[in-house]
Amino acid sequence: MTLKLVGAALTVLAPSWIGFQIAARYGRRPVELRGFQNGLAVLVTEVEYGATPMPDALRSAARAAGPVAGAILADAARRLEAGGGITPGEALSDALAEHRGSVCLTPADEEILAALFPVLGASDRHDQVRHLRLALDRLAAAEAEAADERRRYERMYRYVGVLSGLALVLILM
Amino acid sequence: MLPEGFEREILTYVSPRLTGLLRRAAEALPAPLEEIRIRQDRPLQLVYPGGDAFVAPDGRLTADPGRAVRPDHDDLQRTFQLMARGSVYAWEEEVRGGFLTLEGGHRVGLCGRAVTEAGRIRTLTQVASLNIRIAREVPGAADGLLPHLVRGGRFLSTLLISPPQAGKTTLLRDLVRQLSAGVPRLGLRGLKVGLVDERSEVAGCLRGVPQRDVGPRTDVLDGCPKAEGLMLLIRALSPEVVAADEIGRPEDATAVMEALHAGVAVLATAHGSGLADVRRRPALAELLRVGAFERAVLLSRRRGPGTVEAVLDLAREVVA
Amino acid sequence: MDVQLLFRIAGVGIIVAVMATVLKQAGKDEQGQMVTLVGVLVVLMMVVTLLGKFFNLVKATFGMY
Repeated sequence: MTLKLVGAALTVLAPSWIGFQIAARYGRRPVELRGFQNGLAVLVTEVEYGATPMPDALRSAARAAGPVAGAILADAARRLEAGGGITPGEALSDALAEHRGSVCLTPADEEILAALFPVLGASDRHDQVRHLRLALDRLAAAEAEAADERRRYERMYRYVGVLSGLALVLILM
Repeated sequence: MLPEGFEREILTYVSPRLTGLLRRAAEALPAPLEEIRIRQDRPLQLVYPGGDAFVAPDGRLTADPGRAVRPDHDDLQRTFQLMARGSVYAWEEEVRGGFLTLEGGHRVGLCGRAVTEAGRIRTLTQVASLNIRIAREVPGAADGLLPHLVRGGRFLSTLLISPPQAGKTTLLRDLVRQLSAGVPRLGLRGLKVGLVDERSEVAGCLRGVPQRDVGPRTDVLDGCPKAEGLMLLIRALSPEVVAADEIGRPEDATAVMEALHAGVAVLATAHGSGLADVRRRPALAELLRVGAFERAVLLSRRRGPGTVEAVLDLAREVVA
Repeated sequence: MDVQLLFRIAGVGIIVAVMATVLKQAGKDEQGQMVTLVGVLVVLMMVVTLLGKFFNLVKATFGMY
């Protein structure tokens, strides 16, 4: 009997846990997008008013970008300083690929950042600011979409997880 | 022959695909490397005193441009970006002026497509030619000249007159260095020198710090128009000597006069192949007429760059 | 007759209903319908086995072989 109870509890918990995980991804995506926006906003300031060299600019952007986006930007700064003939765009691209497992961005979100890779640091101030601002606008749109999805799906996946666990227990009983 | 610091100061900033080639090719050169010319889709060229050579795909030197390696778009862009330390926007002024300065004072000339705005170059895009000019200091270039420019432990205001490529800037740099350091054998103590380096050629400043040896008592005003720069130095930095490259505009002359009235000696250069050339330019003629300069030095390329043709005592006649 | 089975069927019904509502609210109407359908099928399976047992009993009782 006790064994049966423990089994039932596990059967409920497993799908619930999966549901909560999926829900958490929906919760983290807008936060990460916002982090990238904060980082890029700092980058715009550094480029526009400070004309700060890219590694330093990336580092101060990383400080403003929160944990996930910050780790990626800081990693890009590190790669860039390590040298080896890579451009800032490639440094950022590599950093993003390295952290792909721990971010909740969709391919479309990554595409926004990827649009920056070939131009990052490669043109004059005016042009840099224009590209960065465009990316900021697109990130803001993506964030709004992510927030909407979060509102709709975050709770749903939690409920569905728990309920399907219960249903499973009832059916198997 | 590899120039000193070549690996760290130059090759770090060149597209990785080209570094190996350049290293091998530069080692094979019969004389120290002077210029690396990277042009998109055109042969990779090395220039050394007395000649040039192209680089073959195996890193050997070749005289045939058809057999040379041709850097592609990515090589150019990558090299440009690396030289700008991934921050082209931070060197806007330099890029607009068509050059970048590397650590060690090496200058990189840029050529590509100019974006103009109201008739002025706003920036260069699609950089398609890079000319890496390897800085070589010639300490002691002014050794033979300096005794003629000093009298009673005092440096006399001097105008260096030379055609292009005759070593005018190199000589100016070494004069500045020696004046700043002091020359005990001439009874010359170290002087405070203010240098206006409008085109960043004399001191090769990187982020305001001179990359060339311009002496311990030298302050460099980098990238500043000469006339304004000279006034600023005199007012703010109490120099005993001010130096500037290529003077010639009326406002330059006014600034030089201002310096002389303040009791500051002036060291300047001007384009020309002789005193007559200089006298034809109104601003300089006026300066010579009022006796602003006590010495004029004529340079030529006759026996290589930096050949001193004559030192003139402008107060009297020929000294040497 | 097992009361547990009744509770099971009722439980599955409630859960499926709640799940369908939640999905519908999130805008996933199609998935909601799917879940309802699956719920109905699951319940039907349970009932079908019961009905099978019932007919077998009837046959056995009246000796209709």
